[in-house]
Amino acid sequence: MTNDDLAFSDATTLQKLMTAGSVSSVDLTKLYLERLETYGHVYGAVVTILRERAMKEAKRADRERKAGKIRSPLHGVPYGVKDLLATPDAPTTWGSAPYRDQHFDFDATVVKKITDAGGVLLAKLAMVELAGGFGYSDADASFTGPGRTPWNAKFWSGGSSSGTGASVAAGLVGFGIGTETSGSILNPATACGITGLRPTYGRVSRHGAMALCWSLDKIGPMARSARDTETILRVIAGADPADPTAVDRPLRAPSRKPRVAVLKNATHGVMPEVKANFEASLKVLAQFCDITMDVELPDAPYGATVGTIVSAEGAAAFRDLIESGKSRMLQNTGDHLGGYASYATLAVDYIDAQRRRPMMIKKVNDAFGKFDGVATPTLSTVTPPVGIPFNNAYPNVEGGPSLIGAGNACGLPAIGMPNGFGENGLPTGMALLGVAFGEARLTAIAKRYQAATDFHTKRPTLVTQTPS
Amino acid sequence: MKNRRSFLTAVAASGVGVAVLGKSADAQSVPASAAVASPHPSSSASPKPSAEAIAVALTFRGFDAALTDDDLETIARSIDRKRGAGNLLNPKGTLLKNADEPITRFTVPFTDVK
Repeated sequence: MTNDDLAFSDATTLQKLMTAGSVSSVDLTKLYLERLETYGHVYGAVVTILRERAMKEAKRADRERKAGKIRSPLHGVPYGVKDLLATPDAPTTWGSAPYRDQHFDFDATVVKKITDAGGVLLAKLAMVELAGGFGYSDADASFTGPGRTPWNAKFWSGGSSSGTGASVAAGLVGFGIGTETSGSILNPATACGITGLRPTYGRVSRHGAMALCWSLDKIGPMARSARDTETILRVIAGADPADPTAVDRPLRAPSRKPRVAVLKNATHGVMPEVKANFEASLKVLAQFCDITMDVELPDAPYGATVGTIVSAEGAAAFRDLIESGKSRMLQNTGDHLGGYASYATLAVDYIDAQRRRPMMIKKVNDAFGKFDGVATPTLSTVTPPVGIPFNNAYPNVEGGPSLIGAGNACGLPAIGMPNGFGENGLPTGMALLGVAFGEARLTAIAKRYQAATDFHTKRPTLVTQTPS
Repeated sequence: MKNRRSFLTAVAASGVGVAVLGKSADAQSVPASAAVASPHPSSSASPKPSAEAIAVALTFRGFDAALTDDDLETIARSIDRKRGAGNLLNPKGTLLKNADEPITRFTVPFTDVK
């Protein structure tokens, strides 16, 4: 097995190799640290490499393994986290210049749980500044520069968990942790050709994570396989006294044949390759799922609801930044001004958005509740290029219906996985929206899909210089 | 609206300009609702921001005195878009009923009395 084979293995395989004695956690940690140093900046993927902490944790993992103590399936596996999760070893920058020297003296609950499970924290990974809450308009929206997908460095790695997506796709970490308020796991997972799992709101503690929207933020795994995302979720899920919204719920799937709905007009207005790849994916799903076509998304203002909540809660979360006039320090020109308009959100609009959510949850549950997953293309296009406004990237693609707004408004889980490639060698993806706390149903389907396909095992050819 | 004069002309035309300008140095004391006037929605392809949005945008010079007129116009357009989204949530206040409660989660932390 070559170093590349190791670097691109999923966490489940890495654990098997360590169990067999073929490789140690220290070996893997050194390999990933070297790759982070070599490629991290090329893809705008890394903020801080935690060499000292990583080596200490790797040595501990190997020592314990030798003594017969295996803490979890993540024992000794090196990983990275989006740089909005607090750690005491380095600044937690939230991807932004105004907070580049910010320090916390504790680990976020998610980091603590993975540490307690034997994981090895390698790096704080790049992200769109403030998780995109101020309305960035192009890929250059982080103080570390634009995130770039390893599949073609002239194109964006997606956002806002940009660095997590790129690092997982480039084999710079064993797995990663991202966050999603509305799209920030699924979008970079698609742009980078990896598997991302957005958990149900409340499944994972948010303690120690930057708050963009208290009622929308979720933390979830981004990995090289669906089986990894389930393994990681089992480690990070659960109640936490520090986050009253975090709860314990079972994580299991029924043993019957999975039921998958396909959203009506799911491929309307999408890129031709996105359509073709999605239709091919449905044929694979049909081999082991009961498929119901043309299920309609109930009519409701999902986008307006999420947008209003992001504006109001985001403006409150960053009121100090807005009122100090320091949003001018942000990287993206859209972010310089976006906070002001959010600040002007009417209180009645925010309250009405939160009044609409129970109705939406009921409507969506009535329509989708009997299915284990509702399938759509994750995005209508491949990821846009770096250097031009998103709105100008694919002007001829109208864009089809998406469940990202509805899913986040209702706090529902979703999984995104690669299902092929489109123009410029860029990945396309399929997403499944699940029922509340139905993550294991989604991973069960995704694992079967990935057992029948090999898109998740494809490796990009990496470059050592950022393209001009 | 490319210069300060035209921007202020638009504000003045809104009928709220004087009041808003008078308080713009301390925007926290000028809640958005204080600037309410008849909005001036435009039906053109590239609509001008409403007078209300312009008035609110102007208060943000209290946070950043270097905001240009173009910046304020951009902010005002964005305010109008957000208000438009807000209108979708409860059109004319008719969709939601009095008893429809928002999702809120307020908890009082346990305090141990010794």
